[in-house]
Amino acid sequence: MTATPETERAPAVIRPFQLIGHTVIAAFREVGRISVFAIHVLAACITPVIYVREFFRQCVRIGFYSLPVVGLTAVFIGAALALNIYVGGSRFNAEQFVPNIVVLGITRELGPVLAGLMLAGRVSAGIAAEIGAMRVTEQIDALLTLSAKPERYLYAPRVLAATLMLPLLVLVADTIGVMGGYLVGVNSLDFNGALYLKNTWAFVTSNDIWSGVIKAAFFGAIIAIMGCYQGDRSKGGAGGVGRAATLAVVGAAVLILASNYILTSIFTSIGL
Amino acid sequence: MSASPILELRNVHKRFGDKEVLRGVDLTVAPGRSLVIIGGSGTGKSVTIKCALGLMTPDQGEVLFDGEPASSRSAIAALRRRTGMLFQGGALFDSLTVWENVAFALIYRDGVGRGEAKKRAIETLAKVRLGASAADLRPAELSGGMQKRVALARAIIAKPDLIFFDEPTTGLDPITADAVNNLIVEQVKALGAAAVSITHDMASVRKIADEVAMLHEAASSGGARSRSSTRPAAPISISSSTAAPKARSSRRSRPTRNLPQRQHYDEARDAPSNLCQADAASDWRTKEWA
Repeated sequence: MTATPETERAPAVIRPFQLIGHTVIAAFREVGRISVFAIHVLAACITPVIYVREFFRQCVRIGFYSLPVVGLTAVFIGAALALNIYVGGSRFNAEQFVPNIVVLGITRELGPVLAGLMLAGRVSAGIAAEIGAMRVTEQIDALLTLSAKPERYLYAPRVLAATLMLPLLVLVADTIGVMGGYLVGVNSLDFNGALYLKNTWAFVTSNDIWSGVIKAAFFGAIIAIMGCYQGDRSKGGAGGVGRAATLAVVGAAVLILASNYILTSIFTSIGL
Repeated sequence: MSASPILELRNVHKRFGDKEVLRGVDLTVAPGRSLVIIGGSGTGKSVTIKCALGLMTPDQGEVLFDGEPASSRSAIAALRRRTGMLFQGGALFDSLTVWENVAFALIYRDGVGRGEAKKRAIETLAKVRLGASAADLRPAELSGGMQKRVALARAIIAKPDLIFFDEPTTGLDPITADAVNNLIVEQVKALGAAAVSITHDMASVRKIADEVAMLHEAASSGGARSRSSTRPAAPISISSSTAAPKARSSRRSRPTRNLPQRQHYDEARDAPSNLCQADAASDWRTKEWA
């Protein structure tokens, strides 16, 4: 943090505390800016006018093109999870619970969190870079002069698309993740294939799936809002755009993990 | 000068941190007239236009559009509906095709159907000498000069009353720049619109200006003043031959030059009568800019 005139004038013994104070205030200011930005964008998401063509375009970009990365992540995580649970479970003769714990872990936790983190890298950075480039090349100013509000034309379609697409991607990730566990269970751990699937299906509840899907909707909104916010605030040419992309990914990842804990706490308390 | 200007800036100040970029800028643009703002780099020419368009909020002073203060959201929205803007880099939307860029205001603001909008976009592209074959290309597939022409088409398609041009010939070769200047003059005249342009290119000034204003960096503060509000510290101005409105019409009748006229410094005693409206009686020494 650069020294302010106040820190320069302060006695040396005070300066570290002053620096901490300025940093904390700056952090709160940033949280405030993000909150105000998010409120504006979310308001644009639920009030007319919705740019439908732009929304569907973003659904394809965010949803369809993320399928490979989410699918690959899910299959390997499912496979590794099955192996780890087998090793852990064998310590107290609980190997037979591999299908149950795999499906529980994938649907409630790993599916939404890992899909969210992968999309934070792929989508949030992409949105930040795209909007940042639009900002530094005056395209956002051009939108304003053409009477189009960026929060409606640019941000709301992306936030809506990410909020709706990530739950669908998580359903895909759940399915593929369970199949990853199934492949390892059947081919490496000598499980009976039919029994593995029967145990999985019997154990999983709609609450497990809903829990992950609701989390995914929150994560989708976080990913898109952080990308839009950092892109909107970028300045200074190519360096600024790169910095915006980095900040978007880091911010989205931290917020996903933090909100995951909060949402899990809420779901646990309400019995979801 | 008309009694009812379409755009007026009164004592506009704008500061970024410690740097005062605009310090009391006064400008007046009459309907159907073309005002060119000149000045050195960093003197606040683009900031002036952005304040006029409501893209930046002045710290002090006011912007009046058609006699009404353009300070509220609704007033700024009304201003933008009646204005067009050509940005320095074109600012074309990468994700859209050329015709979608040109027809953007028709589709997203005026609710014109895509078929009709495309037809009108192609008609407007023809006005800036671009064929229908360019309509389905992406901006990245066009040359710099073509991008400027697309941006000009986007600025004029909704038939605005006032058009802003931010360095319309920057980065173009002299021949292409001359072609863009000709298109600007032709289209502004055809629309009967007023125009505010900022440029470093004196060939552009000669070609498109009815009136010229200069922003000059004040030596004392690093800020900027418009020629009309404060006399600058240095005796720098524009020669009357550069700025005279009659000169523009006479130059239009000349055959198109393939190469720009050589720029030179030239001192003269007489300030142009129309040099930024308010200082006709000034005894400025004038100097033609390179």
